[in-house]
Amino acid sequence: MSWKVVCANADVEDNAIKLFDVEGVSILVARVGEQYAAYPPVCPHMEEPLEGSGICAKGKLTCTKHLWQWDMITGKAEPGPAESPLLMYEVRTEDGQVMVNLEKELEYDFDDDDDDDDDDY
Amino acid sequence: MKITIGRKDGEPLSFDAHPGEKVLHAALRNKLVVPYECATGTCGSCRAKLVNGDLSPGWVDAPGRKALKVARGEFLMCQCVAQTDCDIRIPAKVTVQESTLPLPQHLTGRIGGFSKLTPDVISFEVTLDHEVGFQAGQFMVLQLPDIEGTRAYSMVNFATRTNYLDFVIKQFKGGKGSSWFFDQSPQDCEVSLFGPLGHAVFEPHLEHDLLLLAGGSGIAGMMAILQHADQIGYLQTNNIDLIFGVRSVPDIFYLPVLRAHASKYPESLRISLALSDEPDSADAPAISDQLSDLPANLKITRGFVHEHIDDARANANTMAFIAGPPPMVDASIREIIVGKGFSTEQIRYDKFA
Repeated sequence: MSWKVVCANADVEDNAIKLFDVEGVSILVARVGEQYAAYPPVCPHMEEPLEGSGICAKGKLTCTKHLWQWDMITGKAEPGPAESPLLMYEVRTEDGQVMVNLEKELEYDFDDDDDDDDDDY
Repeated sequence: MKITIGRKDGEPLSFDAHPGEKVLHAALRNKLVVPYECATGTCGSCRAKLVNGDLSPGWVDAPGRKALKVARGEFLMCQCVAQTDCDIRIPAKVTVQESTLPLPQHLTGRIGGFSKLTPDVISFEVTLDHEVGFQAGQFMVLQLPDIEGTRAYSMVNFATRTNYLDFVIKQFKGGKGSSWFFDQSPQDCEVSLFGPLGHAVFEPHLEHDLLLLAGGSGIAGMMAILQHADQIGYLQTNNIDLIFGVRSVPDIFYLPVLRAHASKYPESLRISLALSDEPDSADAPAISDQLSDLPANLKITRGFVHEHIDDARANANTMAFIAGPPPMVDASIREIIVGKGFSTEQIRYDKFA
């Protein structure tokens, strides 16, 4: 376990997402009411940065690039074009702060050069 | 050439490509459902990976190639041509088309009928060698003589089967395709096409109310939808709201047709022309002085398209169609999801970057 403080609870507005850097790792924090979630900063489809292309409404996050959509807190794909869920960091709030378990940076498999298992295909 | 697509969740799918035929065209022509959007090398949506075989790269400066990992064998299906039999993989579910919708095909025709609609908008027509079927909202990819790369244009007209296609193009300063049209306007010139293409199509049997959002030449597919709707009496039982954005009064085009539609359907059709750069000062002539005798359901307003979405009629049965420059499309998507509460299944668009 490697719990890190990402931000204060109030740093993220209700029904919104905000990008943070935690020791060089980009983390997108989402808030719906008093619930928080944290995920990698890009869309699992084509790596679109979600801080710019993501829109939040009624507890759902939508990437405007191809309308992939997820539940902001569970990261599960909503019915529609989305073919995969968001990768989720473990999150807890403590003393007014949002913390994530940053044991390992979560990344989607976009067929990196040093990756031979080709999960993306 | 035989091209085989390996699949994680099923048997491989094989299809034949003609010599010189782009992989995307061959796949679509053979009823395969594969990802694509612009089909002209810009968006990068049709990326695939070569596992075995040899491909020619096509347009090497295609903007959609920027995100590719070329060293890993990634390529754009809309650009590359198989030089040998090829095994490829695609990062999406690939299926066989089951619907009876018109399949895209290779076409030839003659281009002409150029007509300047505004200082920087031209309409033109293509007379095909034989009739085709398409859906309102679809587009064709045109290969212009002596111009590298292809260009996508949506059909402005609609007919169940026709060999006549009507297009509109907005001048893009420095664009080679655009200057081919605006500087040369060559009459009766042969052109090759591939289509119909595009997912943002009007399906009348679904009986949706429609919210049509267009910027500039993005009005093309909306005109086809209005024509189709008019032909089948769709507006007798369904509502359509159209918001069409241009810069200023001199940039408005298709006004006579829009006026005729609006007059014919005073209740079910509402049209707003949104002018983003129209001067609003004591010195500027009032819009109403420049355009008179408009029906009550055809309004001229100031502002961007997305700023007028709030005034449009919408319900859970409304389908939104969006076409235009990417910033207009993005702002409109944001507004209809956040402001109007649309689900993603209520939105259809083809984004041309």
